[in-house]
Amino acid sequence: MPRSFLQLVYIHVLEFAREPGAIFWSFFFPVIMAWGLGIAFSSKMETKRNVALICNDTTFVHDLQGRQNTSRKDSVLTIVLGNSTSGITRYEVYITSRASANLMLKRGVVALIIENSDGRITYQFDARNNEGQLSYLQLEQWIKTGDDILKRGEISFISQKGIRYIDFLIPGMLAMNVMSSVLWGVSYTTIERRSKKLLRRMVATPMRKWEYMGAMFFTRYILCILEGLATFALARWYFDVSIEGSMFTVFMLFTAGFISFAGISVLVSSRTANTYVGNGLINAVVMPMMLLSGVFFSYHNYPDTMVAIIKLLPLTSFADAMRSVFIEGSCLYSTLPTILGLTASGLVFSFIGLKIFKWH
Amino acid sequence: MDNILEIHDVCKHFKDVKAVDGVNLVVPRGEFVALLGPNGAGKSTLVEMIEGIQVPDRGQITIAGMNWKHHKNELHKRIGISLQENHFMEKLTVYETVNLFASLYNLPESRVEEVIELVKLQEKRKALSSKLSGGQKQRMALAIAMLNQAELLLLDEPTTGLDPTARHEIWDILSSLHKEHGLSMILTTHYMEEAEYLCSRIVMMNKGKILAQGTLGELLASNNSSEIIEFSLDGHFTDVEFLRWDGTRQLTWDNARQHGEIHVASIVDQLPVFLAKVKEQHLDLSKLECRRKTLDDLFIEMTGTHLNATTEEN
Repeated sequence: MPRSFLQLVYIHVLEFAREPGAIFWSFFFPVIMAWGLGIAFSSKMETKRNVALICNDTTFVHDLQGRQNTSRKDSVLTIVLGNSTSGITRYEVYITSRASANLMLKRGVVALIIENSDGRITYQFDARNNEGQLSYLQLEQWIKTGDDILKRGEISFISQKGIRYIDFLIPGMLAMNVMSSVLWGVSYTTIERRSKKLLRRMVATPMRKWEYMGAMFFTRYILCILEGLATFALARWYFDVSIEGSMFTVFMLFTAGFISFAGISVLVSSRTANTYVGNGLINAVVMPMMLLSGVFFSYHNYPDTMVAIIKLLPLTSFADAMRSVFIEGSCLYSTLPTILGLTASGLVFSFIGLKIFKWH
Repeated sequence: MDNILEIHDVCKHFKDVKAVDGVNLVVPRGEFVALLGPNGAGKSTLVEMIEGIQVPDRGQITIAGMNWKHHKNELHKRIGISLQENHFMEKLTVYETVNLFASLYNLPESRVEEVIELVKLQEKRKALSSKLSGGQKQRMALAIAMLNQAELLLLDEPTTGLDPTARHEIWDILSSLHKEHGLSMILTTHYMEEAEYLCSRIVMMNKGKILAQGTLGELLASNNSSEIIEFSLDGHFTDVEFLRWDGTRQLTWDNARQHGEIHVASIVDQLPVFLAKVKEQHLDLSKLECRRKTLDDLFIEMTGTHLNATTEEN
């Protein structure tokens, strides 16, 4: 191994290690984000919903407030439904007039109006409003029978490994981390060095250009693996996330994803010497993929035409394939098309990027 | 004596601007040459073409008998460069930075210590480059330029933006490098003092062309060299032609500043005549200064502008 290559790797590591911000954003931020999102979507917290009740029949109100988990303060009836597994919903039922109930609905204070008129109960809500629908389903059952719908025997809550939100999230986050780490770590560093004329100074030596590029990508690859391991270690330890497929397949996929984004990073940083322009370029690549590629939520809710385009994005295929290995246990053979596709795209982007690359 | 550098009819255009326009220059081995001219004169573009960073539109550049087209790798080993702007990796120390460049030249770490000592940065070897002053950064750039014991050192405005103390430190280092190691060096500058102090030959450039070249003495002698009597008068004179006499080579008068210059062959001979004229005309001198002609005076004579002016940049 030439001394120049080792020195180039060494200085890239030193630069990274001496920048506390870089360490935070590379190692701690993804771990904190995975933990935060995992917690947020794994444990149900208490939900509060407001409902308006139009009722002249005091017996009906007395009947409701006499039930379990119900209390009344002035004209507000508090009903607590659910349990720690299903999540607790606290209903604040405002006993009010028709005019006032309509106003509350218009203002979005309530999503459901219950009217008891001559012993007949009607439920009024917007059919497109999920909150109104959910409130109706729960309260209708409870008012009619005193039975909490969520305590019924026929409802079973999904909590098995592989179909939890955290199982969906972690493979996507690992893919996204590779994208962010490479784009910011390689593209931004290159643009900054070009803007400071450091690239120009370095190529004025006998340094071989492949050595410079090779050292930068080698360092970033090692850092990406360490970053990925940190995120996975948390997921494994705290959320009991496991890989159903083989580690080797994950490794191959991870490497292919890295190559793809390495190619994109060369292309993005190939010309500009302005860090502001560079910032914009990197964001223009990173942000759409971060939002559309289904890292945090499924992209299948987008219109079909958009889904077809989203599937072409490198992060989408990378995250989907990672998820299939993590959750479904996909083997190397079935992920091979993605591995080859990502690698090929990386090589094509690198080729174009290096062709137009400005060292001066 | 063989030549380290030969430049023949070199041109470089940037869009509509002729940055370098038909330059011819020969630098013998061991010579310290200054390219002197205002900003935008084409000095940096010429140096960048010598460094192989820019490719000439026309003409040939030969360094130690080689050219960039055919001997790129060899030339990288034979030249040392210090760029106009020197930004290094901020999180690396002086030693780490110089060691990185040493590794790129495949040089041992012992050479790193040598060059750090040569530029007197031993005490700063563990300091991050972001913590260095402008002068120290420039010295580190010089250390890097000297690493490979180049046959030709190219220094692009090495003291621009430095305070006088830092500038003199750089001058001392460059001067001893030239004297003790016999290095061939080309330095671009717009400071005439720098060119006068350091260089054995001065090449004056403006608008991409070479205006004149030679030693300081040759340059000043070439243009019917004179010595100058500068004076200011109390009063409101629109004309001082009455001060002209046979020994006057050139008389200039600045109405606004009430300031004049008389170029004479010899101050020793002509100053008494000037003072006699002043007495005869009952004039009050508020300022009197006698000096030798400078490169700036010469540049003004040739171009009408000062050396520290800025011409159209490429």
